[in-house]
Amino acid sequence: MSEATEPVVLAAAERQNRFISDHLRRIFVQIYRMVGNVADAQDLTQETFIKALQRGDQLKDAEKAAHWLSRIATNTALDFLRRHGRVNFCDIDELADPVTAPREADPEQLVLRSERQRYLEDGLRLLSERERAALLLRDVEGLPAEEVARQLHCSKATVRSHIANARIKFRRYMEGRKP
Amino acid sequence: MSHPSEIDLALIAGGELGAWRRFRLWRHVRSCDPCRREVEAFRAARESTSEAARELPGEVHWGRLAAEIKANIRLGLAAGECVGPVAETSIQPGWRVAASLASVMVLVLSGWWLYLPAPRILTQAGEPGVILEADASGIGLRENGASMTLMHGSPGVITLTANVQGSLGVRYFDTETGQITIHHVHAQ
Repeated sequence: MSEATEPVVLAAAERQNRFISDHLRRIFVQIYRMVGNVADAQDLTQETFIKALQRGDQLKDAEKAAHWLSRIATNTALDFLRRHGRVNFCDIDELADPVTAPREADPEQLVLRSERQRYLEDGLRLLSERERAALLLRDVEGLPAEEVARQLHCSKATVRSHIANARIKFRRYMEGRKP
Repeated sequence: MSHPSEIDLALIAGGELGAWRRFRLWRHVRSCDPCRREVEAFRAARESTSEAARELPGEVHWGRLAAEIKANIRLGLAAGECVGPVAETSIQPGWRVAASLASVMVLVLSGWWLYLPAPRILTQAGEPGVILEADASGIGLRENGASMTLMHGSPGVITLTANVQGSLGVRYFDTETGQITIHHVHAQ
């Protein structure tokens, strides 16, 4: 490597690292909510970032890059669900060791958090794949309905229908089962 | 105006309706207690779902998991760089066809050449009476009725070379072991 190109390569590597750090948690959670499984979410998050970073030219505009990354994550997760069938939320007890929480965490908080998570996951299980994706992208990611339609490759009217159905199902679920 | 549908109320809560429709429905919702309560309930459900869904799953130790994911991403990118240039090499379609045809021709000609009966090469060395010879079994020399032959070790791909200076060479390639053996016979 020549001396002239070295700083350019280092700057690109630094930009990549920052991009990963800025979006990793959000993308992981987004994928996890869609596939419902930590191990699968980990693999799909890695796949998403590798796909995105191999097209480094798309990372110049930060806001566009965030939407674009989210789109890759959605497509990757939906492809996975198409290949592997329905979402499979695993129990916390089944989580592998490398991802389990440190022992010093407050046990009461952990119990509350896992209760909330279980409650949410049970509700998400009631939705179809596309309803779940539309609800998460709109209400959790905060994307405009047009962007959700682009990500799900469908019309805005279809997205509205998915979002409305998802909200109605989720509300009925919440009314039937308070946490 | 009759009550809006549940679908419309769910969409009002998230602001997904068009401006005109939203204006018309809001006029009703503002003055209708049951509909207003419905919209508020949808909003509350939306907010609590959104808040809970942003949390990390269960008891995930994010620090360790993030480090593992980052390391795997770097590994994946490095692996991609190794194979990337090969995949991205752009060769014109015409060249591809020509290269494929040339490969097939080389293969056919090699096969044809290998199935030819082994030529018997006789090289007369500079000194009369010394004969260098090669056949399917090996190469050797003969002089005044005495002869010495170097046998080919195993059947395989054989390349034979004859030199006008008075030498014979043979290279053969053992397809089973990958071994290459070279024999040279010089007449002096």
